[in-house]
Amino acid sequence: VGLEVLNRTAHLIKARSVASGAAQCIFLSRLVESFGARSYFQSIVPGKGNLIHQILAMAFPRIMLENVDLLINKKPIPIDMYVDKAVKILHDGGIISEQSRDVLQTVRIECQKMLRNVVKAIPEISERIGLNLSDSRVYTEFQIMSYKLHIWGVLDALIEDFINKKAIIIDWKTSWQPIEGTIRIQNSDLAQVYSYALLEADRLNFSDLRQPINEGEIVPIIVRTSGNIPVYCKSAVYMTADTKLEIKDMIDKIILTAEHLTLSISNIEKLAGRSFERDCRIIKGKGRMRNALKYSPDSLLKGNPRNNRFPCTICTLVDECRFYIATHEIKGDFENLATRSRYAIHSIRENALQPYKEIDEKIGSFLFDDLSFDMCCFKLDCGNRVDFFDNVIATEDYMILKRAATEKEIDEERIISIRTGRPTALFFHEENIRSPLLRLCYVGRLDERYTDGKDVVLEVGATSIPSKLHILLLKNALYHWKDLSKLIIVAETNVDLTHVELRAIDAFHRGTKRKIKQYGDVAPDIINKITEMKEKELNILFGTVPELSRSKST
Amino acid sequence: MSFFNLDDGLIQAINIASKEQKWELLRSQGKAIKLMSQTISGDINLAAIQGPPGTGKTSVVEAFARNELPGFISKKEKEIVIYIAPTNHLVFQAFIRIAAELIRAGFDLRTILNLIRVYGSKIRPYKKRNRIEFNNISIDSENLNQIMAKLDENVKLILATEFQRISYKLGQIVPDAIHIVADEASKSPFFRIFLSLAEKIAKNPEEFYPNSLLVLGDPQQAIGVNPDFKFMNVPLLIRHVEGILGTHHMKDKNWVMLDTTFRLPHPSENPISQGYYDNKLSSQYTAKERMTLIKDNVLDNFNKILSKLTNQGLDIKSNEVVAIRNAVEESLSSDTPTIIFRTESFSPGDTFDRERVRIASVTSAIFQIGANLSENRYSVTTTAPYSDIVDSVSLRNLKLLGEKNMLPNAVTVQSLIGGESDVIIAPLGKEWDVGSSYSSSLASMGTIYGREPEIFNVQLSRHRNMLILIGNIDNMNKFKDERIQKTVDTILEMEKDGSIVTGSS
Repeated sequence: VGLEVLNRTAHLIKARSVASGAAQCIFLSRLVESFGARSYFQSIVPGKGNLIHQILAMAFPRIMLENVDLLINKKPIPIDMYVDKAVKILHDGGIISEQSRDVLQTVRIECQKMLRNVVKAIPEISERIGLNLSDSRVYTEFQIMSYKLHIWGVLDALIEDFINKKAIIIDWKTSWQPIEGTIRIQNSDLAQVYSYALLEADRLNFSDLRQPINEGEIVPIIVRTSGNIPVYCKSAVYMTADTKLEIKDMIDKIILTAEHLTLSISNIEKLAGRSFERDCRIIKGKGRMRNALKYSPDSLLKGNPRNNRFPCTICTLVDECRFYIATHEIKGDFENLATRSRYAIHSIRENALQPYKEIDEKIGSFLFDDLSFDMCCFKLDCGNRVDFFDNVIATEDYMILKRAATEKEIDEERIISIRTGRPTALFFHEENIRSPLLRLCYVGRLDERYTDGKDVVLEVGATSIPSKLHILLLKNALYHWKDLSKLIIVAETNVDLTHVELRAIDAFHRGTKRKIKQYGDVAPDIINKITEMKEKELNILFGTVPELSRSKST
Repeated sequence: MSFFNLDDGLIQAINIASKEQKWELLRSQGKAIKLMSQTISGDINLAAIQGPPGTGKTSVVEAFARNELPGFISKKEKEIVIYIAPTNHLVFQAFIRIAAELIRAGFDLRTILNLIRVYGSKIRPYKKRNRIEFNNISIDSENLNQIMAKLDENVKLILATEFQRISYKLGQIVPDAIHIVADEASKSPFFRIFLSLAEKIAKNPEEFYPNSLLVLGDPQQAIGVNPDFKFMNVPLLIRHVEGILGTHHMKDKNWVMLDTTFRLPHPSENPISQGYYDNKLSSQYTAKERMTLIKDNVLDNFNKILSKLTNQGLDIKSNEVVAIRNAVEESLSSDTPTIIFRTESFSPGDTFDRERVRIASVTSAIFQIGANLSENRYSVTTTAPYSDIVDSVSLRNLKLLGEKNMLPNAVTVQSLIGGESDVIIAPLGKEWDVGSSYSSSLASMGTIYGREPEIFNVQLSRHRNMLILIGNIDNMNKFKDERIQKTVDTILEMEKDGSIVTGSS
């Protein structure tokens, strides 16, 4: 039943959550994914770390692509110049705003250090694993979604030699605030970069995703500014880190964690049927019925917030864990309302991902080329549209797509394509990559569509700063690899803000409950008075569940 | 990305403040302002203002800013009002209107920037570094940056979009009380008002749990609501508040419906009043008062309009164009604000209808050319539930009017919520229903009005002057939803008694 659910669900788990579940505590990840007790949002938070990531994303591909000979021959590369150039491009593009001179200087120095460290290591790793730098592609801020793994990750940088099926995955380790000394690398950091390695193994079409990592064909590294080990690597081909951590075991845990977290937010009844859902129920502590598919596997690391032992001693979500995980409270109307709200959000998240799932199944199930598909707009089962374009230009603000108008479009004087205002994903042509979700892609918003009678043109614009950065990165990629624009799959997607919505439900659930308790803790002689006041003035706004919410109407 | 620049907003506020404004509040608006004041002063903790189309929810906020905000600002307590709206546009507009009222009340620009913070994903302090001067006070880009910076002890009012996380902007500040005003909250799930302060409330509800909440919205305009909320029985904010007030027998005191529309000209409000508002909605203005401008422009220039259309290749002698011309002339001469053009029923399997597109584009072109010939321009908008129709009308409008001319708008109903236009051309969506709208699986199969009957309400309530309906309206009273049935019955009755013009080809 578990496999059936995994095959059918559209849920994907962010690599960051998978990593903390695999290497730290599975309850921590569940608190994030299921309960929204905390969300990972670092990539959009402006700050020093974010700025470094943006500069590195811009500078690294240029260094790699414009200096292949210098790299191979281990000659000096003018890294400072590339960093300055990247800062200028980002500034001109409105990605980075005015920074104080001190901050920018610190950031430049850190970028230069990290790039020097990585540039030194790459030729050596390439040589050892047989990666041909001259024929490699270099992508930064590269999104991969895999339904084989149920993981969704954004790689900081990837160097890939598809012909020889070798790759180096780079994760920049930066601090969000200035810190003293070297940034420590946690097991969860390693698990994160290994999750990316698994995603890359899927992209390179390995049938056993563990094999290329265990055998050193895909090498994940973490790069820091300083420390004894600036390029941190646990791969046998370039072992720089001496930790006791067993990588094979970690990879197994990553796969298991991703599957477990996916099952934990999937609607088993909807995906496998009511009878199967009931068959999977087991009796746990204090006679409570639990669905076995939602129960955290014993082999995964987990703490117990009631014992106050490791890993709970270093965890920042102990209160949340006590409230949601280590509780045996009987659920009333209030708790049921919070639970229903979470189920609704999980379902919305799954629906938001449904177009990706269908694209993976419908297009990714066979090798896609120009001739094997009738290139015209079609509708996915979930209602989202998919269209195909054979020309793309990246401008400062837009990805402009063009294709010839179809006979029907000319005849009916209409455009049959992606709808204006919709979030839109562009999957670029990478002939040998099985699924579009594993290919280079861009997600923006369709701002405008028009026709001159002969051609249909779409203008897909950036929706945020990271999305604007992607346009600049793609501009460079499209310049270097013309085949990327040979055939672009364009699909309507959906906005997914469910992680923020879960956070709001958490605030409603825990906040209201605590506020009620605050009144309950006052001296007994005034409890009645308080209750009366509560009823009349509704001091706790949502402390009482109205009868209406139990009815069918919203 | 197009941004809303706060320096532009401030200049607009100064301009608004310099103009004299006559305030004449209706009874229901007066009650709404009182409710808002009581909520923000903490006398009432939970309240709602239901604002049907064009009834002046924004005017209530404006009047509150004018009459009550100065007093709130001068309070010694560290109390904060957080105004939350679903779009950047609404937040930006609220900023302009509130800033204008504060300027009128005598606050200088620098003080206003000290008191207010504005946060939105598409809002930025300024585009270029321009200095703004008003009443001997000059502000520069640094002052403008402050308006989106973190909070300090002086801030009293925060304006933000729903998904802005204000927790991080609060820093170490612990307010004595937090009051939330949620505007256009009709389609938000109940828990979303916790979003802006989620991190703080979850960790420390004793200090950050909101002390009072005022919801402004209209459940009858709740469109684009995710069906999963309905399926999982998760109430929308305004319904939840209604439920709590009902449970505590406080609805009479803490809930007010604004009952007079300033937008829709009489009698064009009747169908939605019957269908969606228990016949409680009435119009402040008559069609006669409103239609003069359009009447003069179109009737006086009809020959010029037709000649322009002929030059663009339109056959003005075709039955369809003649029928459109006749209906428009009849409507304008008789001060009848609504026209119906009947078409074949919408075909299944597509969200495009060539006949509706043709009629919509010719009609909008006639009104737009009239507007372009006049000095007093009015707006013309086509709005349909499907983007395929809207986009095709846009394409045909471009062909009929040429790039150099001002073009009419064409937008989906879903994106027009909160907006309005002088002339609305409304091609209907599929007029037939399938399945029940309460089952999640069937809901996704149903037609658009069956899934969301509120869309019909929104489509019929955006016009300030004229509404032109295009479709097979007679079929629509077969919908299971009583609101649609009643609305359509009223339309057909009005057509019979001559208060709606029938266009026949």
